[in-house]
Amino acid sequence: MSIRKAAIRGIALAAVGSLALTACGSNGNGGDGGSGEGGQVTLNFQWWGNDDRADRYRQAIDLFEERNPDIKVNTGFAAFPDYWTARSTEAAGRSLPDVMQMDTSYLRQYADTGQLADLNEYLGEALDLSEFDEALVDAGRVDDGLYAVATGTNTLALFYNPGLLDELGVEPPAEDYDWDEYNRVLAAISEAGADADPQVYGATDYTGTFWLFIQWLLQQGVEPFTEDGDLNFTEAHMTEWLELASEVREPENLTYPIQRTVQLEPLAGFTVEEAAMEFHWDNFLAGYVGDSGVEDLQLLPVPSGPDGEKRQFFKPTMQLSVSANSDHPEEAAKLIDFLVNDPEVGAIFGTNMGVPSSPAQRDALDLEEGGIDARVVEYEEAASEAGYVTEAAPLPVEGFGPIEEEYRNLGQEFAYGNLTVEQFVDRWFAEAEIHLG
Amino acid sequence: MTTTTPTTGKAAAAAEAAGGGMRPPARSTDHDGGRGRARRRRTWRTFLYHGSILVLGFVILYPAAWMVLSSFRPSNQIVGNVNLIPDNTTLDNFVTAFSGIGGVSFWTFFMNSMILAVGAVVGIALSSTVSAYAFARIEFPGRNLWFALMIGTLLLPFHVVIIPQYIMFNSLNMVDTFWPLLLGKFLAAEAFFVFLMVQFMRNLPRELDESARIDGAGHARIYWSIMLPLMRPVMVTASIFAFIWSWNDFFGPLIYLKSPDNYTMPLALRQYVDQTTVSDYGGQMAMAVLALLPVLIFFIIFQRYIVDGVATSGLKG
Repeated sequence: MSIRKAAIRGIALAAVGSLALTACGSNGNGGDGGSGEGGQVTLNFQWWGNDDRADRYRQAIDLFEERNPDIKVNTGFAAFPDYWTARSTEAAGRSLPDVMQMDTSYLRQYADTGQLADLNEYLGEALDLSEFDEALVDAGRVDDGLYAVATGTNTLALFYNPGLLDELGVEPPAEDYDWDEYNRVLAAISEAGADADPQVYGATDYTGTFWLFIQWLLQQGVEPFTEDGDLNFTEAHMTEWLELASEVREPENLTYPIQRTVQLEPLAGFTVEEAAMEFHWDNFLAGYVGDSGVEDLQLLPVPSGPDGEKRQFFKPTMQLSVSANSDHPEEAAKLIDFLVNDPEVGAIFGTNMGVPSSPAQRDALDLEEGGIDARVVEYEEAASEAGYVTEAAPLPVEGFGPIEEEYRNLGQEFAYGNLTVEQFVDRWFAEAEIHLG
Repeated sequence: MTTTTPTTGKAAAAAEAAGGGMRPPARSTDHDGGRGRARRRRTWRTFLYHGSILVLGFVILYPAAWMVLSSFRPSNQIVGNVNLIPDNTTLDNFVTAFSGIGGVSFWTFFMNSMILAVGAVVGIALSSTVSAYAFARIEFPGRNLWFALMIGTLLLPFHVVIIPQYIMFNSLNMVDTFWPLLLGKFLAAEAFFVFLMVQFMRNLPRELDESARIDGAGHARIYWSIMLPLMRPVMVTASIFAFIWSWNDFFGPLIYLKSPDNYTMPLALRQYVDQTTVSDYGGQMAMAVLALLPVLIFFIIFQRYIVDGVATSGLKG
């Protein structure tokens, strides 16, 4: 009885409350990017990242609004996989945000379906990329259109744990090492670490990483993809690549056990100090140092190819795109220009989104001597000066996401010993055919 | 996370029923055979029963306990550690969680979730009872067809309708407001609850509304004065589920809410773990604990009625 009265009273109260709330909801955020009173323009801007990046973006956007009082920017964010779920729904309704963070593996898909605006017409005016490395600008082109601008770059690196190597008495590879030398070091570490507690291995089986395969292809003088988005390599190439690590897999498997890798996720053998080396993008240094607590992790360039050249490339990170349905593409281009060129923005972000693309922002980095940002920038500059970086980043084809994922899955099966090299190659090519049409 | 709390409730109810069912056979052995042996067997059985319940309870509760205790660990000691008791305790994670994300405070996320959850409860309590009344008590042409269609919507996965729904709400300029998440609930689009209430109402004796009709009451009066009070148990059950589902919903808010000021708790929760930069597992654990608390409190308060609502098949009060 009293419960009923209370419940009815509660429902009535809540009904009134929700009416009031929906009312303020509708007048608060009803705008869909149209211009408001006084000629003010509102831009929607979506990005992925964590709470730390959210803070940095907020500072940068505040600065932008201060400089451009007639433009208001509404931002929103999500974690990487959720971000793409939300974007694909919006793409179906042709209501993508005016400015959005873009990833190379999605670029062709969004550009080919006409979801992105061609930024060529704003070049030189609202959008100034004159200081950018030519190859980096080209990484945002699909066919002839410019659809994305890279805020930063990263490149592949071999991370190693010097303390762990010291303990085991194994020398790290010299800078001009090749793949055979890498195999030797890997095997030496695993043999030296067999009696350690916990047991220490050299590294995981590197042939399971698709980007390393691409790097190796470039070293063989093979462009991985053709201009029109097809594969440019054959089964023989992939077989040769997978066989490359056979000497550390047989007779005894000296690579880091896959069972343990799966157990440790989202950490890795390298970050729990059970593996002494690992390949990854150089900007993962911050994450690796954070996860492992080892401050002095070192970076080396990738192994050299058959002619002694490394042929590394700068992969654009965190590109920015303008959607084709934007009502204010000019202002959107202006926002991108501000984010990639303004020195103060460079100082705000550090290497959070890779090493900044524009020299002005790189110079503005407030680098602490020996700090993480400094080491990543130093690594990229050294690699660039030593002539290791000679290639343009291969523009991934449409369907790159799925074929990379398939390679990763097969790589895992392969590491478990469920597949032979031939089965791996057959299954991957069958799958790639489906995704690339 | 969506189902853990309700199932624990159901499991408890089921366990109670199972326990009740076990006693009579034990008592019947008292009559034949020696008393000592029977008693021994009975203690043995009780021991076994409670022992297995305890073990099962431990297995089920372990992850939850791990989460709560991990939220007091330093961030770098969480993943890969299966121990329950932290070596070092810290409150930093909660400080991180309460400090919000990107300038939006924790309480904004909390209030948004609360508004949506309370809105869902109100909407479902109002709309589902009315439509259930229509389906259960009013003869109208095509009633069975409409009922079947409504049940049919239960079979449609959310992911199938999400894109057309998004396009519709987008052209109504309702994206980035709470409307897309609440409107359906105020229009009885949640077929599950309508179905639940129709089934409940069909069990109520027709004599009650017939006598009200003889006294001159119309549909509105019968609904408000006769049916609604009798439907208390099922309404409480529906409200609890509506609250928990809305509170835990991730996909809907992800699609429809664009600005951080409108984000809900589950969206904020995901923000601490990002594989492309540095993940703050501690912040996430603390946020998860904070997100779970309201549901837990809500459940503890109303748990009595959940069992009540599920168990009541006939008339009460």
